[in-house]
Amino acid sequence: MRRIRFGEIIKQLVLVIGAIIILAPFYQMITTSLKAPSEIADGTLSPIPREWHAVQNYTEAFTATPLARYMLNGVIVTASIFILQVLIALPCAYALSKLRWWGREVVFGLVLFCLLIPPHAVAIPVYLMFHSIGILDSYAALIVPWTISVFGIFLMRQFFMTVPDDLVDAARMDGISELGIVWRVMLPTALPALTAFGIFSVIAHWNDYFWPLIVLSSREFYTPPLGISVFRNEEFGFEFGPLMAAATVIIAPLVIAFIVAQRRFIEGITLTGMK
Amino acid sequence: MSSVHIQNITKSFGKVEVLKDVSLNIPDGEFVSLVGPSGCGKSTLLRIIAGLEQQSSGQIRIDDRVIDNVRPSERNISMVFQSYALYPHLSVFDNISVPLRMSRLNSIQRLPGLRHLLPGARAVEKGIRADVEQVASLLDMKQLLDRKPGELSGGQRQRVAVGRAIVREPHAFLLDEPLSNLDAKLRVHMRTEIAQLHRRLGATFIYVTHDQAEAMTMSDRIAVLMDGELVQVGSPDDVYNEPQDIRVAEFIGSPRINTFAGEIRSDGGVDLLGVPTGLVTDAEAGPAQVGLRPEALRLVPVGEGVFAGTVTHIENLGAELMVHFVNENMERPAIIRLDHIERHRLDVGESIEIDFLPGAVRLFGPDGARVPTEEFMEKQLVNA
Ligand SMILES: Nc1ncnc2c1ncn2[C@@H]1O[C@H](COP(=O)(O)OP(=O)(O)O)[C@@H](O)[C@H]1O
Ligand SMILES: [Mg+2]
Repeated sequence: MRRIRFGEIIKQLVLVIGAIIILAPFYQMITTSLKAPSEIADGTLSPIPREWHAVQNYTEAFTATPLARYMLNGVIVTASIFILQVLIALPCAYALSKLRWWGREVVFGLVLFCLLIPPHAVAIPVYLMFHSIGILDSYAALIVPWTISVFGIFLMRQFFMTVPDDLVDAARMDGISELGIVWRVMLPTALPALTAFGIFSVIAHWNDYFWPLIVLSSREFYTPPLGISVFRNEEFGFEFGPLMAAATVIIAPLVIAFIVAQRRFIEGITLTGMK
Repeated sequence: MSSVHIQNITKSFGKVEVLKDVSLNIPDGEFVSLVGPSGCGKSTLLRIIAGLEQQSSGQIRIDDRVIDNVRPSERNISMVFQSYALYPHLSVFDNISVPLRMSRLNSIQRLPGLRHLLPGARAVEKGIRADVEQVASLLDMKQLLDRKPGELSGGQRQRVAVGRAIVREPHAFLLDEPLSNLDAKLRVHMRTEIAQLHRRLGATFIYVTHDQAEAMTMSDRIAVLMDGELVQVGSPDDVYNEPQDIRVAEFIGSPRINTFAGEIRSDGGVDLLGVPTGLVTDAEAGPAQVGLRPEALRLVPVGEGVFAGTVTHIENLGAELMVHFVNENMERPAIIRLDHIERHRLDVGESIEIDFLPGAVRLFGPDGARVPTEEFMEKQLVNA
């Protein structure tokens, strides 16, 4: 009895310490966004602001730069990327898992191979291609390189492999077309996997700093991470309060989205109906 | 309702020939079972009839219409899958209405939400609801319509799968081992239900199973498939009593038919374990196999038997008794089926004597094919 208790305490302790280490920077970010510049500058790291400066910081964050515009850009870009990724990955995954055709294994091998290529490695060639067709510095430049997600194809293909062939055949008997099967049968059964992929994709592209930095020059297309960087350039100097306020605002949608999707994630859709 | 004609179907997967020249004509309204051991090609044949698999050669007709290049959904055939294959995200009602929606609504009306908004679609939807409810009451599952497949028991899912198959009133039903995922008791119950459903609908049923008991109890005719070949087609009685191949004899009937080493003598007489059986045949002399069903063997008083044996095991099934016995000439134990009146006489290890009626002997040549026989003379007794 005592030993179980002891083990339990150790376990909780480790978890709490881990949580503190991970959450501390976020906490610091949020408190900093609430403090006056003088208090930030004296470097005391007090957990609660002595003087509340929230309104000024957040107002500054939204007025000094078009933060709302950056957020909207972020929404447009991440949503377009995810929708296009799904439109492409699901039919591909279906063809790779449920259709029989010559060369299927080779193509799947290529998909696996592409997983190994880091996006940064092809950044320059893609940049040059975009330059030659003249779509640098546009939404298209932000969206197009990511529309074919080999990771998405791979993930959905692995999931589709677990969907019984009989279900696909039943749909064919019922008169659903092949594309219809992708959207009306495979998509609903694959919702848990798709949610996981969606979280991955949205986080990656919402937070992406590297690619927008390379292809954009006009501020009107800036995505949130680039928007934050505006706070610490020559014009503004180092204004930590508004900077942290902007960072908090930018992270908030992700945190909220994750909390909402998490339930879905865990609930999933039971596949027991097939067996 | 229609007849189904399977003509010279072959199917190869790469180099493996899974179906070899299979032909079978199924008249309108017949319940035919395709039986055979696992891997013999039953599902493949069914999938070819359904259009889910393309045959390597041969032709499938429904009535007079060749359907080889017709899409599965346009063949007007329904299939019930072994795993039921219900749409896990749809309610029972929606599962059953899928085939109707696909055929009665156009692609615009099928878009999410529109079937409740467009006036034309609403009328069709009403008709669909009526049809689904009729099927639900036929199968006694009206109370299940709002549930998801995940909330149903195995038997209920099976019922929904059947409902989805019958709702569009197809020419023929294909059922691929629909009962094999159910527990033994429910399986026996569902046998009766499916047979009754067949009688009520009067439709053509093609029923695949590896369970010979299902085939025997439900079918008008049984088609036995072995290694991709149809070895025998006939009524259950026919297949049981007059097997044309030793594989059929061994597959149909439980417990299995007893097979003994036999011989066709040069004078045409047939011996069983070296004892004359009283049968003659025109076939070539040489080794042969003699089949005798457990109920064709009889326990007789000492001195009256054709051969002797020692009891190795007794299976008591209540109403009847399966007595396993061997003698030194037999490769493996044989089984006699006794009714319960005779049970008190026996114990394991006891010596018994066995007799049989010559008319019950089924003789098979070295290649396994049935050899016709005639009764000729009195058999010898053990100690004669
Ligand atoms: N798509 C396929 N590709 C290759 N071989 C297959 C395929 N489908 C079935 N087979 C083979 O064909 C044989 C018959 O299979 P099947 O018709 O499913 O047998 P049954 O239903 O009688 O158990 C098996 O040996 C199986 O491995
Ligand atoms: Mg099978």
